[in-house]
Order: sequence, then structure tokens, then C-alpha cells
Amino acid sequence: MTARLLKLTFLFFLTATLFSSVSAQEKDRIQFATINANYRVALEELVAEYERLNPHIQVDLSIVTLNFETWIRTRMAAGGDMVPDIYNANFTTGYDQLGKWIPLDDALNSVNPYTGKIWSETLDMQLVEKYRYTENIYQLPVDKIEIAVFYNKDIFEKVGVEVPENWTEFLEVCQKIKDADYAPIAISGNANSFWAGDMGWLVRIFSDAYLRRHLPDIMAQPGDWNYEEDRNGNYVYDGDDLYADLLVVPNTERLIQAVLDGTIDPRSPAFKQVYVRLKEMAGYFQEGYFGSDMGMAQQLFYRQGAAMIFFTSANVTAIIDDFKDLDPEDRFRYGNFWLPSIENDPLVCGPFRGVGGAGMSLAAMKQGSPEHQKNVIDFLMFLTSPQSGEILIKRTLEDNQPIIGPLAIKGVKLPEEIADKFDVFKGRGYEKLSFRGLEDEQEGVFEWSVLAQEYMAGRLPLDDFAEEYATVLKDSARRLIKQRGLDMDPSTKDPPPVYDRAPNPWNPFENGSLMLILLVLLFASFAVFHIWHSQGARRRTTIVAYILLFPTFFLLGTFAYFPALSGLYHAFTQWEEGQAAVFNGLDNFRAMLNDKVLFQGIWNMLALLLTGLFKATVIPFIGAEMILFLMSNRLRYMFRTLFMIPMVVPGMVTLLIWSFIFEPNMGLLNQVLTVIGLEGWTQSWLGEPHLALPSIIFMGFPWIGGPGMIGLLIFMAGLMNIPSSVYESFHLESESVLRRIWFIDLPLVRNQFRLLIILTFIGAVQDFQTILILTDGGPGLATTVPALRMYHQAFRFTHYGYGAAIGLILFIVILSSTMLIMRMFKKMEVE
Amino acid sequence: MREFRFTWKQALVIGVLTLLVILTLLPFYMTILMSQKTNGEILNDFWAFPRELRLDYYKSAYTFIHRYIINSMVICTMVVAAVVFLSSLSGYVFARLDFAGKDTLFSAMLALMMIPALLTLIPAFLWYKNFPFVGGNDWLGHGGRGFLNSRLVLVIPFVAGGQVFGTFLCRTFFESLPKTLFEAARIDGASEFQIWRTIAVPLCIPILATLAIISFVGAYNDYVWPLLTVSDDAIQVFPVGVTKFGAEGNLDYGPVMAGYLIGSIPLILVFSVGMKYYVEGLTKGAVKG
Repeated sequence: MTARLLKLTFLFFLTATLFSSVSAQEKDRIQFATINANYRVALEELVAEYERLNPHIQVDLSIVTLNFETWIRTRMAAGGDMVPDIYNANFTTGYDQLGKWIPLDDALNSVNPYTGKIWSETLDMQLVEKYRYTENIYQLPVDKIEIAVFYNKDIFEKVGVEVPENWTEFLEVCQKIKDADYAPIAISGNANSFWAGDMGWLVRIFSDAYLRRHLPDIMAQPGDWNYEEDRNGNYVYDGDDLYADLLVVPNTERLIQAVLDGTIDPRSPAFKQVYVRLKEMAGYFQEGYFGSDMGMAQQLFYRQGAAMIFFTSANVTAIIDDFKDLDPEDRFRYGNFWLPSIENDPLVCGPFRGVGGAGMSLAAMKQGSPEHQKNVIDFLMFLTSPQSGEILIKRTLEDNQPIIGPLAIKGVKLPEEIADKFDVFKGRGYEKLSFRGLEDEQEGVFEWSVLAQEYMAGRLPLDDFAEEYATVLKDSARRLIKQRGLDMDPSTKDPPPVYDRAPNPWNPFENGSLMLILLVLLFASFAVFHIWHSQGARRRTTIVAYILLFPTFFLLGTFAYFPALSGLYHAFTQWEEGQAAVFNGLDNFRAMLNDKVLFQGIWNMLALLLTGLFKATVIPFIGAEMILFLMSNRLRYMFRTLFMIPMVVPGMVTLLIWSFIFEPNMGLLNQVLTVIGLEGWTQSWLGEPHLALPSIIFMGFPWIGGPGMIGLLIFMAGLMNIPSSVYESFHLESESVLRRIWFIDLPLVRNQFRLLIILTFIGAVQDFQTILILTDGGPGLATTVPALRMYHQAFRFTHYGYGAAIGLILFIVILSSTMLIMRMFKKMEVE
Repeated sequence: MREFRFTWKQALVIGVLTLLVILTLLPFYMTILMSQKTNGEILNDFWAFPRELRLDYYKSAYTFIHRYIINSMVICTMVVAAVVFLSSLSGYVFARLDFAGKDTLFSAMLALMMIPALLTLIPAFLWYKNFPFVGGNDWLGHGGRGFLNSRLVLVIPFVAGGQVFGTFLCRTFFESLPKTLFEAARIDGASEFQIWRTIAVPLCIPILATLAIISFVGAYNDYVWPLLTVSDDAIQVFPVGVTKFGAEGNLDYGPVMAGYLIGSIPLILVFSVGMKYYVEGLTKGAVKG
């Protein structure tokens, strides 16, 4: 009641002061842009309600679902009216935006007219604080996303287990479920999951639980450039206090120093324990979890093959939605709980904390008159009042849209069906110190993920893993120092290094304009030379020819010759993102000698190459012989056409279909094995290190149709070209088909063999798309190839020079092998 | 010569081939089947027919995927037009004009066929990004995005690369035509460009069809290049778009499979018109090579 009174007074005040100055036509316009389309209906209603309460303000709501970042950035660049007043802040994070946003601190401490309370009192301030920058709060989280364990209540009842309270109980529960022939936990464990999924989350949660006592070692100290008395000064380490370190600001240089001098060391007992626990838990993951992505894990849980799964808060409403599609008898009761914490372990610091954060997080642009900015804040207050929160949830659910997680607004009454499922996501703290590589330095994260996969697969003992991980962390630390230009003195703020010397305008590899001029000049002087040296009518023809050929050769020179030349040149340089290339002689090639990933890749490539040659020559040849053995032309044509059908399916689709064929739970391959009674042979084909490469080789079985069709067509054409007189003379001597094939057909399609061998060779050395899509080189390094290494080096770690060097070596391999194959065939001809 | 006569050997070979066809087509058959099934049906009755037709799966797949397909078609059409135009023109020049420096130029062109795409992937990416005076770049190629995130970045490499093979194909074809055809027009005073346009092009339509199909299929199937160079979803092409379909939380397999099938429609159309030319192109190239 008081709130309404206050609001009325506020409105009266506003009307009184503003009405005189703002005419009905000239409403103050607030532009609100968001990507959160799930809230569309609710937001439209809230905006209408706000406009009704504040007739002098008009709110333009834009919901941009595609390319929000580009949309925002282009509007920022355009400036003026185009820039929204309120938008999803996390899309332009980075300190570049800080000066452009309105600090919310004062407003948070003032009364929200729509509740009558201090604004911050009705907000989840712990979440708000998580997004505080050094001095001010700029971001306002509206909702929160977090992960938890979801469990199948029916299975728990059947097995006779309760929700575990601690780690020991958790493992017991898992064991009982396993004994009852269910997979205890469904999880995604593919390469991507180590990067940005279940496995990555788990490692973050575990390492925070075991390593957060190191925070005092790495946080900013008095005298450091980013030290803040009110944030770090009061902090005392307390492992059990989930929020004690919420505000603490770490110092990157101290962190790196701690890694370098061994204060934080993967070989330390606490650090190792993270991975002991992880493996302990992995004993209860579904079989072949390495090959599973999130979708597969979810399917396993949905069809009640697994009792538990890691889900985010967004799954709460998603499950309700998904269950609508399930047959009633396939539905089950479910609940969720926080991952039970480890107790009775002297090494552990405290309970597990969350890895979550804000879903929709808004920031307000500092633009327009102070009056306008006040209105913008007023709208934000309205939007984050508990009443608005209730409308947000209610309308979104009515609209059948997902809700990302609990709102960051206190006192919002939730509908019963989701209220108890959201409980678990409240108030469990946020992980502060976790190691998944170091500081997200990409190369280090990659190397860590490879090591971790090898360790989890049992191919690397814990001590060796820790040893190698220590090296990886230190290498990563050194790279960070270089990349960020750190002087390792925590008291100074180091600006990012300006590596980029001005491009040398006389080096054609750095000056595109010069290169274009040179290319045109080259063609022109070649033309002029030949025109000069020809006479009469021929000169006229020559002039015409060079004019007509100019477009072709301009394109070739600019976009074919030059990149090849540039690749050659840059193989001998150190060339990083945003920097000019620096000549470094043979350094890249020397580095290749120590590149373990590259060498593992060579073995894999050889396996793919040899089997590829068999698949591309022998099989299509046999196929062609079989089809031509048929007497009926109609049958021949029919079979050829049938084998060609897969060719109309785009290559990417074929790959995706094959990745589904290998899927462990419902994939075609396992289904076929089950049907023919070989249930015991079913596998997670791409998930087991020893099976992944053979599975990729198996792809395309029986290797006749589709892309392998080229061989079949070429052999058929070749065999049909053999003059019938050759056969007739042979026919007199022998009836044996095999003898005919061996003595006549094979030698006469020698050229076709040569062509296919060369094509396959070139293809096999170059192809990484298949592996990129199916396994990304994993598990561990089981399916990596040199071309994929090149791709990763160049486009994931932006070491363009090193990538170019790998490319050059592969080019030399292709070129010399092609020549060798040619020579071999020539020799055969002579004999 | 060979007359039809039933033998056990024939029956055996037909049997083996039939088995191979079944194995080859099974994944695609199952894809069609799954595009009409709910996840529950796929899980519980993998081999069964869908309980009901769910054409709305195709509708929802279409909603998601159609703009990627349209983008792909736009790119492929541009590639085909440019490749066909340039290849037939330079093929004609190399075949029918006697000019100084011809052999050097032609070998220089053929040498490009030996350079693998892998070698040029990285430098090409950075060259398109740092191309001077394009996409906000200055004369040194800095400050903007160059060709990245534009349709041109998807078209140019296929044109530049595709015309090498195309020129080779067209030259061979033009050389097989009688010389007198062109001489008559030349005596009538037609320019070389006119001769090319009015005599050469109409004659080489079959070989151009082959070239068009090969270029179309090549451009339609490429994945890595658009993945690297285009981040703007509004111009993204099908192979990249389709990988997002399954990944972006779409857990119903039915619509995903439907999307796969819808993405095949352009290739089905192209092949149903020009399968003959495609096969001819492949086998002819092989005999020469």
C-alpha cells in the first residue's frame, strides 16, 4: 500500500515538473534492445505498463535475435539516435565500454519508487557484485544461469537411494545405481566439453574447491596498481565462507608469478586431488562418455538410461517443454540438487561453488540529457521490481518460452511447477580461482584439454599428467607475459604491448597496394615484351589476346599466385594476430621438430592415407568390374545410378549423418549391431581413443557410392573404353574372369589408377574438415592430423607464421609424392 | 556382343551389388525416416515407420535453414556465372589465337593446379582481410575488415581457382573443333570477342554445363572457408548454417534431419538436370590426365 502511495506521489511530482516542459508529442524516448527473445511477450507487456504509468515516456523495445553483437557495434559506430539506451551488456564487455555506461551505484542506494524500498534491497546483490568493475557497478543482471545435478526420482526410488548429502554418499548412490544397471551420470565428454561444457565446468568447480586457499597469494596487495582497500583489504581467507572472496580482485602478474615459481603447482597434493576426484567421479559416467556431446547425454537421461545429469537452470523449463512431446508413459519424475561437497578431506578448502553468472545483464548508455538518463534508470528500476519480475516469469511461461534461470530480483513468487526446481540455484557462491589452463590462454587450454583427456582415458598416469601439466601451465604463463606485455611488477599497470610496427610500405607482403601494382606491372611487361617481339598480323592477335586474358590473369595473380607466394614467404616469419610478420629464419621448422601433436598427427595421417588409397582404388575397381560383369545394360545403368544417389547430399550433411551413425546411444551403427545380435559390440565409436581413428576410416562404408563414386565412374569409363577386340583375342585362350581382370583390365586402366592415387593422396594430406567436424582431433590426440594442427595453430591460437610453415611442409610432401608416384608409374610402363 | 543369359554367377553379382547398394543408401533412408519421427520414436523403435506424418518438422526446419540455402545459391550462381564466362573466354583465346608467349602463360596457369588449397588457406585469409581500399581498409590494407564478412569473399576464391580447370577444359574442347568454323567469321570482319560470343560459346554449351555443375557442387559443399571468413549470419551459407542447427540446443532430431534433407534440394535439382554432364566431365578429365 505504501508502495503505491509513494508511486503516486512520485508520479504526481513527475507530472508536475515535466508536463510543462514536455508536450504530448515530444515524449522522452528510451530505446531498449535485447537478445532475450524468450521474454518478448512479457517485456512488451511491461513496456506498455510502464508507458501507461509514465505517459511522458515512450519505450522502444527491439528484440534482436541474430548477430546482436554486430547490431550493437554498428549502432555504436553510427552513433546519435541509433544507439540504444539499454542493452545486453555482456555483448560488448571489455573495458572499452565502461566510460560509455552510467554507473549504477548511486541509484542502487536510492529508493526504487516502484517498491518503496532501496533498490539494491530487492536485488541479488551477490550476483550484481560479481559484475562490478574496479570501481563501479555498470551491469544489472536480471536473471542468473547456473548448473546443478538433475536426477530421475523414479530411478532413485527403484534403486532405493536418497539425494546424497555429501561426496561419500554421492559415490555410494552412484555405485548402487551402477549395480542396478543404469548409467549413474550422463555427461558430455567430447573435446568441446573440455573447452566449454560439462568437463570444463567440473574442473572449474573442483579446482576452486581445492585451490581457493591460494587466493591470498595472487590477489592484489597494497601498492599494486589494482589494489582496492575496501575490496581486498578486509579479505581473510575462509574456505567455508562462500562469498568471502566475492569482491576480491586478483592480480594477473601475481597469478603468473605464482605459477612460475611453483606456489601453484599441478604436482602439489591439492592440485592432484582435483584430478583424483574427477576420475573417481568418471567411474560413474555413462560408457563411452568421451564421444558424447550435450545432446547425446540429454537423450540418455530423457530415456531413463542414466539417473543423473548436469543441467543448467535453463533446463528447468526446457524439461517441462520437452516432456510435453514425450508419451505419458515415457515421462518420469525428477528433481535436482547441488553437487554434494567433499568432506573429510584435509586438502579440500570448502564446499563446491557455482560456475554460473548472469543470463540477461543490462547496461545503460550514458547519453542524452540528465533528465533522460534519469528516466532510463527509472525504467530499469521498474523492470527489476518484484511485480515486474512476476510478470516476466508468468507471461514467458504462458508463451511457452524457456526461462534461463532464477531472476536476480528478490521476492518474486514463482509458479509452483518451477519454484522448487529453482531453489537449488540460489546462493551457492561463485568459483573464484580455477585452473583450466591459465587465464583462458587458448594454447594452454588446448594442451590441458589434450592432457586431461589422455589422463581420463587412462593413457597417462596421474603423476605424469601432473608433470606435463606443470610444463603446460608454465609455458602458458610465459606466453601470457609476452602477449600482454607484462613487466611482472604488480605495482604498475602494463598497457597491452603495441607490437605492431608500422607496415613497411616498400615490402609488397605488407603493402597490398604495392603488390597489386607489381602484379599488374608483371603482366603488362610480359605482354608488352611479347607484343614488341611479334610482327604484323600476329602482333594484332597478341594485343587482342592479352586484353582478353587480363581479367583471368588479374584474378589468378591477385588471388591465387600471391597467396601461394605469401604462404611461402610467411613460413619463415613469426606472424601473430594484429602484428606485422617478423623474419625468423628456420625457427618455425625447428619448432615443428618438437611439436608432439604434429608427430602424432603424422601417424594418424599415414593410417588415413593408406586406407584411403585402398578405399579409393581397389574398392571402386571391384565395384566397376562387378557392374560391368552384368549382362544387362539396364541393370548396369540402374546400379550406377543407385550408387550415385548419395552424391546429391551436401558433403557437410553426409558428415553430420555419419556423426549420428557413430552416436553411441541411438546411432545407426549400434542399432545395426543390436539387430544382428552383436549387442556386446556396441561402442562409443568416436569416444574411445583406440576406436576413433578406425571409425573415421570406416566412414563412407562400403566406400562405393557418394564421394567415392568418382573412382567407380572413372574405372567404368576406362574399362568400357577397352576395345572389344582385346577381349575377343583373349577369350580364345581362357574363360577365367579373374585372369582376364589381372592380365587385361588392370594394365589397361593403369592411368586411372594413377589419377585416383594422386587425387586421394592430395585429398588425404589436405583434408581436416572431416576430423574438425567429427572429433576435433580428440579424444586426446587420437585423431589429430597435421592439417588440423595447422588450422588450430593459425585460427585458434593465431600463430599464422607457424601455421604457414606446416602448410609449406605439407605442400612439399604433396608435390614430391605426386612426382614420385608419376615416376613409379612411368617405370611400370617401361617394364 | 554380350547377350543376356541367366547364370548363377550373374545372380551372385547382382546379389552382392544389391547388398552394397542397401548398405550405401541405408544412412540416407534412415535420415528420411528420422525426419518424421519424435525422439521417443527414434529411441524406442529405431527401425519402425513414424507413427504419423509430421510435415511441420519440415516447416520448422525450413524456417531455420532456408536463408542459408538461399545464400548458398546466390554465391554458387555468382561463382558459376563468373567461372563459365572467364573460362570459356580464356579457353577460346588459348585454343584459337596464335599469340606470342602463349605456352609460357598456359604453363604458368597449369602450375596452379599443383598448389594445394592448404598452403594458401592462411595467407589467403589474411590477404582478403587486409586487401587495400576494401571494407574500410586504407592503402596499406589496415583499419577495416577487407573482404571478410561479405559475399565477395565467398565468390572470389572459387572463381580464381575454378577458372584454371575450366580454362583447361574449354581449351581442349575448342581445339577439337574444326578451325574453319572460326576462320569464316574472321574473314567477315568479326572481332575476336564477337567470334567468341556468337560462335564459340553456343558450340561449347555442353562443356560449359559440365563446368557449371562442377563449380556449383564445389562451392555449395565448402565449409572451412565460409566458417573462417563470414561471421555475419545474414550472409552465412548452408554448410556452416546446418552445423548450427543441431548445435544450438535443437534436441529434436526430426527437424534437424528434415533440415539436412531440405539442404540437399539444390544439389538434387542441379544433378537431375546435369548428372550426364557431371559424369562426362569427370571421366573425360580422367582419360586426359
